Amino acid sequence: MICRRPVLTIWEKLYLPSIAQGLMVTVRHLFRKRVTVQYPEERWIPPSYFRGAPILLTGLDGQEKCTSCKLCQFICPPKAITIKGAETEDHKEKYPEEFFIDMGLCIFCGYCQEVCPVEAIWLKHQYELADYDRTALIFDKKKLLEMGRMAPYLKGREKPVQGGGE
Amino acid sequence: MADIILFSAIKIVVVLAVVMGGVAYTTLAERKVSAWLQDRLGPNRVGPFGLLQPIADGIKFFTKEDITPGRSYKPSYFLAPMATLIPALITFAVIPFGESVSLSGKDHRLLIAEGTGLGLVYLLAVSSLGVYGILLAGLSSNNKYSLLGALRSVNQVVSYEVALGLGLIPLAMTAGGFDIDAIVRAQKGGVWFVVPHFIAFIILLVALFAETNRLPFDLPEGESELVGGYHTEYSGMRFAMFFMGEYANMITASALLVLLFFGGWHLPFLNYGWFGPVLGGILSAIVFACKTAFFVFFFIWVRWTLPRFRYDQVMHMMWIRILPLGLAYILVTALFLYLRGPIK
Amino acid sequence: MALILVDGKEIAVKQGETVLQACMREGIEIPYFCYHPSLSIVGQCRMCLVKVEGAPKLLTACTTTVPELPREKKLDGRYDMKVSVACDEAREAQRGIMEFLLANHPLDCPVCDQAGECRLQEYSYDYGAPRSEFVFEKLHAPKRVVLGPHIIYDAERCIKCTRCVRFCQEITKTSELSLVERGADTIVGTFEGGSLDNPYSVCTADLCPVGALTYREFRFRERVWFLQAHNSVCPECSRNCSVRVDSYKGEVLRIVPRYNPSVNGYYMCDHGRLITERMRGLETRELPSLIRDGKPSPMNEKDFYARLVALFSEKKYRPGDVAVILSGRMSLEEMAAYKRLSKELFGAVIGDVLLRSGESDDLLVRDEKRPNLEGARKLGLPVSGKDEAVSSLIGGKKALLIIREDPVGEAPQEERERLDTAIGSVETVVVMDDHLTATAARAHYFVPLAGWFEMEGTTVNFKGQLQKTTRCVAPPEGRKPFHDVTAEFLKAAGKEAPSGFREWFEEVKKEIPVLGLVKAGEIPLKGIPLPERKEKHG
Repeated sequence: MICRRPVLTIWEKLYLPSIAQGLMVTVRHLFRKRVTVQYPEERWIPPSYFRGAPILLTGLDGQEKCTSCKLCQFICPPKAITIKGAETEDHKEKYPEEFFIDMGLCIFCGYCQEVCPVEAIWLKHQYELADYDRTALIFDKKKLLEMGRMAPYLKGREKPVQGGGE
Repeated sequence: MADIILFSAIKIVVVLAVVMGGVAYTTLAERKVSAWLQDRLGPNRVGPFGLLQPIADGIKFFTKEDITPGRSYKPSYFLAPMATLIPALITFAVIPFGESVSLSGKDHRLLIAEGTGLGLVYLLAVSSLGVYGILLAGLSSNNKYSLLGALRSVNQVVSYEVALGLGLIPLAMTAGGFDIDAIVRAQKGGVWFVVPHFIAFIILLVALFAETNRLPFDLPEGESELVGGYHTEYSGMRFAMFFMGEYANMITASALLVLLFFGGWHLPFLNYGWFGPVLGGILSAIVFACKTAFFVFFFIWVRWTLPRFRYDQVMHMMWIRILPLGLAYILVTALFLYLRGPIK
Repeated sequence: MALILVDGKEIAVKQGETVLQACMREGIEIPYFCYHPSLSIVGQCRMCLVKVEGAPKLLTACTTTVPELPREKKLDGRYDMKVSVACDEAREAQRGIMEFLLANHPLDCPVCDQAGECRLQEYSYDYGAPRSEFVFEKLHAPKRVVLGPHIIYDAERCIKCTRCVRFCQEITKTSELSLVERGADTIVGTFEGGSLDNPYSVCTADLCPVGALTYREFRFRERVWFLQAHNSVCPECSRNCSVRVDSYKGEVLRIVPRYNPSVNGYYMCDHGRLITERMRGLETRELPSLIRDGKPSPMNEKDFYARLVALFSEKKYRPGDVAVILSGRMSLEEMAAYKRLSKELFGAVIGDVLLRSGESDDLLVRDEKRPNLEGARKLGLPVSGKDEAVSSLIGGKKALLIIREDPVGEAPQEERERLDTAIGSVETVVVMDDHLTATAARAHYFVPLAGWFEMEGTTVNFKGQLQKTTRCVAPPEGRKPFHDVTAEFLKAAGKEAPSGFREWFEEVKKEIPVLGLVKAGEIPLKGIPLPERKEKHG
């Protein structure tokens, strides 16, 4: 494709008016409202659709909703999820004996949330995940459930997430 | 004689202190203004409004590891930062910064190198020396990016030196001499040269941006192409010297623009004689500083507005556009002065 | 021979062959649940309905045999029957059957172990309707019924195909299972107080096309789509059942039979499957070690072999001083390697392969409890008698080399102590095995070997069928098959030696000339039948 350059007049070729215009654009920003969030003192509150760290939810009975079907483990692109299933006396028969998410590997794609048949795993609000120790980034079931209890209300639901579910 | 030496010494110390302080705070200004232009806050953690940031930066530069690349040519590698900073600082010798001060019946000019009468020539000469620092840095760093940056820089600076000369000559012709004082005096009470010599102003403005390697002429250190350009391999205090030299050059350029086109320390309808010999001098220096500060802001403002030129555009603009324009403008000025006749 | 036309394709049908069998043979897909080639045909699931020209209703392909018509009655003058499989009518019927089967199905695929290898899942995609008309509450049925020691039954998932019932009636002839209750409440159950505990009970879980019968030991262990399948051979008796070994993350999780008409047919015994459970308890992370007071102290591999070589060259054992106990657990390559080693060390091939025998039945389980005894005979290694032979072998010997056998651990309780002291009194004892056995605790030198599923090898079953096992999981660091250990040993002694399975297989071929042009990489999955030996073995 041939891009024809527009033919400029001498006045336009001087570029000085354009430069002046540009300068006016930037100088207007001097008086705009600042967007910076003063991080440690102020915290950004993510919107409800934000995909932060994955959490595990508990059902009404206080047990985790996860049935250890391992679809998330299967779909997870960086293979960050490791689940060990076991039998339980509960109605759901199977539960995750161990549930690890390596947050050092997680890419926050949300496939696990999408694939979960029982809506047990959600990507929620938490984004402050840095640590000095890689092993501390491997979240176990206890930690993930705790994060699930701390999560704010899910969008479009009246009940808090820990009580939510079908 | 002794009081002249004493006064000169005081002037040198004060000017150096002000300029170095100015450099330090220009770096802060750069970061603050760039933040504001982008709707950010800028540095605000060190001291109130981040005012102590330059001190923190200084401490950082002093305590940083000084890295010397292997197989670099050591003598010129160590010399280069100094060769950049020193010319940048000694140009201030010919920059007048206020009305004369009368002390014990004697007039003292607020200018370090008094009575040379060749301020502009000195300025041209010394500012050309700064390019050696860049050249040495690039050649001795043993780094291809540094070398390319230095080559670009030298080419650009040498080219725009011509523009600098072309912009200055009409002013010297109008004022009747190479003395900066004379140019300032010619604007006193009358019209600032920016109005009659607008074309010279534009030429000089472009030339000074190019000389100081500021955006849109920052090709020698174009980060996206050359990492850091000629100072890629420098760290710690050596890097800081390049940095300071650049900002000192920027302040010189701003001061020069004020002196040549914006009436120096003069303001319309204001006579410093009203405030007495000492106070008038100090007041004039403050006015001069304020005007210079605006141009420093202007430099920063332009940097965060315009994108970088392409290299061929830089050369094309100088040799095809500015050179004929400058020469023609000298001719026009000469013609005009000839027709007007000698100054009474 | 009758000729039928199925969707425009002519198929010759043998006497007594059903339409379904003929179609499967010719690669025309007809969905089915209840049919199984080794079981009787009942037409229970109705999934294989096809349209037969002239028949008033759709017929089940699995039960429809083809009568040969008189010449004048042939359809189009040629065909004995015209069948449509892919017609709308048949598809509609299959869709309806799928809907009925799923009417009370719990749809708990995320929890169900069958997911991924479930007929119901596959057919629901291929033949099922996207939605169900059944909007009512589903019937509930017993879940987690313990049918036997290895089988758990979920009546909600069951589609009552009766494969498991027929298996118990026809194959094992134990008849533990039957359908109980009537109508929608029908479930598979045992008689009052009965239990599904025949030696082939887990085969019912394999036969179950859905997730109703599950294998207790594998239940919830891993989802099947993570498993890596390897073709191998069961080492538990001289039948050498062809098996598929499913592993994940370096662990053998499940062993299932692989169809091999010349060896085991469709099935294998529970004892063979439970290898996975027996393997779990073993301590397998041992390095080449000197044993002091029953405790191993690991050594650098190179130093270890140098020391062994030095030991044998120093002591200059004559063949009469040494007892070597070999095992039918060694592959052909390992046995060939031993023969080579024996010639180098003692100047002659000495040693006995222990015969271990036990229970047998007339289905699959053989009395010889080692996989490769026939291979030993083929290679000319003597196979000794029973357990008491061990002490007679040891008597009066100065050195003892035991490979892949554990005479102490497997001896009856009363004999154990005697054997223990007998072995303990021998001057030099070297034990090579895949874990630290009770015999190894008495040894002076312990060489860890790769286990059966950790190495490649060939083995010959009682009928002379040569099969190849593959490396299903990687052996732990520093553990090799015996033929590679031999190579190390010979190298340490400054001799040339083949290395790796392929080169050692060439050695085997020298011993068994019938193998001729067979290449190590080209042994078929079903194995190679070796001709009967002329002389009778004793």
